[in-house]
Amino acid sequence: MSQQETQTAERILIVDDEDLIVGAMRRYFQGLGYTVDSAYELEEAQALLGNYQYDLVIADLRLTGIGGVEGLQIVADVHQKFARTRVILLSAFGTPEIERESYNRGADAFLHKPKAMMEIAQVAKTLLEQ
Amino acid sequence: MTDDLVEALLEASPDPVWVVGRDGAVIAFNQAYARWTAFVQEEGAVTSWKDAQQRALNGRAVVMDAHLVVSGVERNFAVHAHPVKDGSGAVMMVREIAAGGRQSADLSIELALNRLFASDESLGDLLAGALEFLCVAEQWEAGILWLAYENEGVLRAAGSWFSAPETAERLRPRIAGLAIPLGRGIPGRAWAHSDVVWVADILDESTLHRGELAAAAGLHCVVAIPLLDGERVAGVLELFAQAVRPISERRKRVLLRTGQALARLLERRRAEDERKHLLTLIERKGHEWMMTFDSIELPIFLVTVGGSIARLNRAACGLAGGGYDDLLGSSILSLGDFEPWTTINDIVAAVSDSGVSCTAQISRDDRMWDVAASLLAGTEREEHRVIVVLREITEIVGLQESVRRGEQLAALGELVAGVAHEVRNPLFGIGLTVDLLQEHLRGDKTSEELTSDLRKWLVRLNALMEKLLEYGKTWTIDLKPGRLQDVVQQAVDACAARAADAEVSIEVIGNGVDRVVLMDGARLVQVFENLLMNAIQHSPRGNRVTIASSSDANEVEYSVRDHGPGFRPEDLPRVFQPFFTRRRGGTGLGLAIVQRITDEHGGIVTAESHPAGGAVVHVKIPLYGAAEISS
Repeated sequence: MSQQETQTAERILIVDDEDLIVGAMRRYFQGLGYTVDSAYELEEAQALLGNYQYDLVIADLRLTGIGGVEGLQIVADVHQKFARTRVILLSAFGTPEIERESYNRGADAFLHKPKAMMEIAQVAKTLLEQ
Repeated sequence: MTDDLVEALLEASPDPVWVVGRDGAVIAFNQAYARWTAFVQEEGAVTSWKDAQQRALNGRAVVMDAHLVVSGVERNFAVHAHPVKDGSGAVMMVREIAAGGRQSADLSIELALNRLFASDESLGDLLAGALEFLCVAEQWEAGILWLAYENEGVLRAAGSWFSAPETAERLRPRIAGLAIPLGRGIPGRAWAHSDVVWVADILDESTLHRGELAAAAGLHCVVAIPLLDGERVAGVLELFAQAVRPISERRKRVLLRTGQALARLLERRRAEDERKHLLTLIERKGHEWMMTFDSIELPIFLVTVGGSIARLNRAACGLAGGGYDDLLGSSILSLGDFEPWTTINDIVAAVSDSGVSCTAQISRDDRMWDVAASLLAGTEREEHRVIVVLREITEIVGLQESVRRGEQLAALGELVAGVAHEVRNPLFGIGLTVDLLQEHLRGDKTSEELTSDLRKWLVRLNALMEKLLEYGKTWTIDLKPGRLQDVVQQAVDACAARAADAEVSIEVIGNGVDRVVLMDGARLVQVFENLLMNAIQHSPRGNRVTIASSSDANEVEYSVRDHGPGFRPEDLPRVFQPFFTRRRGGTGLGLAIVQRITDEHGGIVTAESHPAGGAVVHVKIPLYGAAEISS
């Protein structure tokens, strides 16, 4: 905790089961000056969330096979533990119902894949400035 | 009265006349009596007139038949006995009845009955006539004809006749209500024994309640004759006479014969009535059958093994294109040397030969029939027939094809949507990588151009994926009553920017059609957006796209027209197929999506080239009831 207080850079957690996507996003956000952690699975993300208080979590809605909505669980966990942490959900198949559900659980943004990195960064910046 | 006068009176009669005293002894007689008694020695004859004499001495006037053999010759006599008022004796008289006359009378009775029954009168009238005839001819004062109801075991009166109208009036209602059980009363006994039962004087039969009835009308003698039809007793003829009349054996036989004749005639009449009833029934059933046969919508032919039409229903007449009478008897082949007749002819031959039922499918041009034929085995007198039943399946086959196409499309759609979805993630990854690459290569002009090109390709690929997802999505369609004009306006607004870019104007004609349809508004907007986008893309700059509406009692129609090159005639059958496109960079999914969504709304979409140029696409959506929403 004390370590975090000394850092000026905002801390971001990126969760996606596609390592190429995680890699690309991590590099991009690091390039923008953020401290970036990443996770590929729900449990891994939950473990990190237990260790650090993040300023922003960017999570994919689906982390396992067809039908998974683990992202919703991450939103709920974050919302319960950290009032200040912002969450962006990304999805390649989001239906209007799931999008509504995400906001109900406390998501700050719901973005449909594909989105340009710049757009995601713009949303992240806006949320962190709030 | 002097003795001389009495003697003169006695002698005036040619018939034997005698007077007996209270004790039965003859106290006066004429010459004829003296002659007659010399002939008659038979004991039975004496008994029969002694009986009459006793009744007269008891104070009653009686007439009795006496059947005697005189010198070996059968002779018939009527014995009249009349009481002397003060009870001091009786006057007796005998008259011979000519035997020959009697015999011919018996014959003429049968002939007369036959003649009577030959008429068309109702059975009730016939019986009344027969009864009257029998009674008058045989000198009976009354007659009742009872019919046997075997299952109930009773006799019921079928007709009655009385010589005196006032008697008829008094007795008929009582007789009509009677049901005489087997073995009871005089008619019941005649029925039970199948034999003639007679009672010379009903007053002697004190046990019979009907006795009083008859006595009230002055009737004494009763004879009941069974109407024998073979072994069976069809009924009983009961005859009454005021005279006390003994019945001889011969007379009995005659009466039995009359009864048999009557039974035969009754039976014949009954059979005839039955036959008439059956004929009416058959006629009615036949009519009902014809009506049923005609009301069947499937064409049905009854064909002889030789191939000529023996019967056909209305639907068959319609298919063959002729009247019933013209078609009857004509051969199947004469209906035309083309389908379905040629195949039907072959099938009839095959079924006739093999006796095995057979089915086939026949097609001619764009029509199709299922045909089934089976053998209707005839009787010895009737030849075999083949029943041919047709069912037009053109529409069913069309529907099946449409369902199959729908299923194929649905399966294809799911596959496409699945693929599109899976492609989204890699596309996203590529996009992110290109973003990174672009940052990395910033400042290098060539590299920047190349990444920009890469991004254009990505945009196009993403657009295709979006369309594929749109096309393939399995929607839970949410139909609600709504107005198409709102949907159309949304689509027009959504396309406004593209139209402005392309310098094309959108003109809405008559979007005042205020009719309600069942729709999923969000989905239906896509239909008009796609049509307008297509029209804009195919319009030359400065031109206009029109969207016009109209409606009738059943549906509302929107037509989107551009002024571009229109459809190529050879393309028209394919324009709604997925991935069919003539536009460079087009996905070929726009119109396929339009068709899919229109289908979901129970509507129809058609495309054509306008005679004055340009393409027109018509979308028809069924109206929701005939309701209108008032604005």
